[in-house]
Amino acid sequence: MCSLLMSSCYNDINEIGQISDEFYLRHKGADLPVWVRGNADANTFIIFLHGGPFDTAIEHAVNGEFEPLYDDYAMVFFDQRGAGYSHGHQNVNLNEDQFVEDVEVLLQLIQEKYSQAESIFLMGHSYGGYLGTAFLNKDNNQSNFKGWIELAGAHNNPLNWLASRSFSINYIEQNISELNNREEWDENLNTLYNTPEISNFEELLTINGIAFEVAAVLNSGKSTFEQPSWLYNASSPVGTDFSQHHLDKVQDMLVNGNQNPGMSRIIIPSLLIYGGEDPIVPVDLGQNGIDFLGTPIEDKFLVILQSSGHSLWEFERDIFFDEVKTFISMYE
Amino acid sequence: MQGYNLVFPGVEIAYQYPIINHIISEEKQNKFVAQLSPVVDFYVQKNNHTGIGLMGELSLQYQSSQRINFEIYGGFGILAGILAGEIYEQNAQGDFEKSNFKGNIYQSWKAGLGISKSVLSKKGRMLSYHLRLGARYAKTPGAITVSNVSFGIIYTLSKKEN
Repeated sequence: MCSLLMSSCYNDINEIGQISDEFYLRHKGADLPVWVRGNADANTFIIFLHGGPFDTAIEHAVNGEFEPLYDDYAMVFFDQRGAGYSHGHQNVNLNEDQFVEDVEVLLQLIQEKYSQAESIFLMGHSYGGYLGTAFLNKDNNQSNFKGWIELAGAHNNPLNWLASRSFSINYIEQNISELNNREEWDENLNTLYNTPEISNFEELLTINGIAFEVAAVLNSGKSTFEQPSWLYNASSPVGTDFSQHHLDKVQDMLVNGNQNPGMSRIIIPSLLIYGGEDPIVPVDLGQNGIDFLGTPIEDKFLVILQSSGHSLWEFERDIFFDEVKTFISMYE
Repeated sequence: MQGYNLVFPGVEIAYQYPIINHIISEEKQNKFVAQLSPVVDFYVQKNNHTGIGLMGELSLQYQSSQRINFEIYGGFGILAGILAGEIYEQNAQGDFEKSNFKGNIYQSWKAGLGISKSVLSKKGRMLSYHLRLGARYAKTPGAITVSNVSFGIIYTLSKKEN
């Protein structure tokens, strides 16, 4: 029986026992949309931290990108402050401490709202890897989780930008003769050569922009995820225009943020998955994560999906979801 | 980092009262008219930026003798956002309570095309029912929303027609 004020059961379960809960967490000026999808009988929850920063997790829920996990688990998607279609006064408190605190409060809400959540895993993608690492590193936050799943996580930004630059240089050099718009790629290569270090936001955007161009070519046609039709996207109930319009407020974090110093404090089981064809957060960050996490060696795993790009779950989907499920089954 | 633009459709229901109805040209019983109106609308975009709007709107209409009208319109005003769904907020004791549905206050612009039918009421007032297709843009410090498509049903009440 559900209480009137705080429901301890799902608001919306369809006929096949799948959850479809949607609500907001209001905290320090931001209204954060939270969508819960998956198995209504599940005792294992996965809280997903999206990347960007200022990207969206709700989009993943709308598109059903993580549906292979819904049979066994409940997934919690939420848009961080200033991101996706979070509301409220989004241009305040845009800093790492607040982002971490938002996750803490979200966790408390999930634990209170879903008392059946006996095992909780944290999953962070890209910038979400940085945020998740910062969160787990703080106080005793990690004690709430059975495991940490980092997907192409950028927990060390200075290392990441250099690795990304190297990846792009190598790719362009090796493939320049086959690339269209040769002049443009020559220019990209020269730009990369002339940016030996990333010391400011403009240089970061340059490196990152070229990495996305490389990804567009390298990953073209390799996604095995059936994207929704244009009509579905056009009628999608989510999204705000001009995602990432707060990047300027987190410049220092993006350029210099490095979670390595505190990662030895993280001791929970950890699965790190990186894509071999990801120029945006290359595999170098995976080994870095394994090296710096304090998790015992037998409980931390690095998986490289050789043919996958940045959105790992879109490429070698069977292998990706097998790895995630195997990890969770070991520790839930 | 990733960036993308997403736009999404909404539906609006509105009420407007033209305060200026200027006939630009007239031929037989067909008119080309400019109307300036305050408009109150209720805008619905599921899961995002539903709200109540108050706008000033300029509409250029071709009004045919059969009282079927074609228009282009543009407007500016505010949109008071209403959040759809339950909102939870942590109190000082650390417990979560349900909070109010109030969303942001946005500056809002809109523009589009429409078709309408005018009828004369029993009281001698001209009423128009519009079907519109347009775009809405809403902005508040720190948040921007855009609707690529909005469908509207507008109820227009005009001054008593002699």
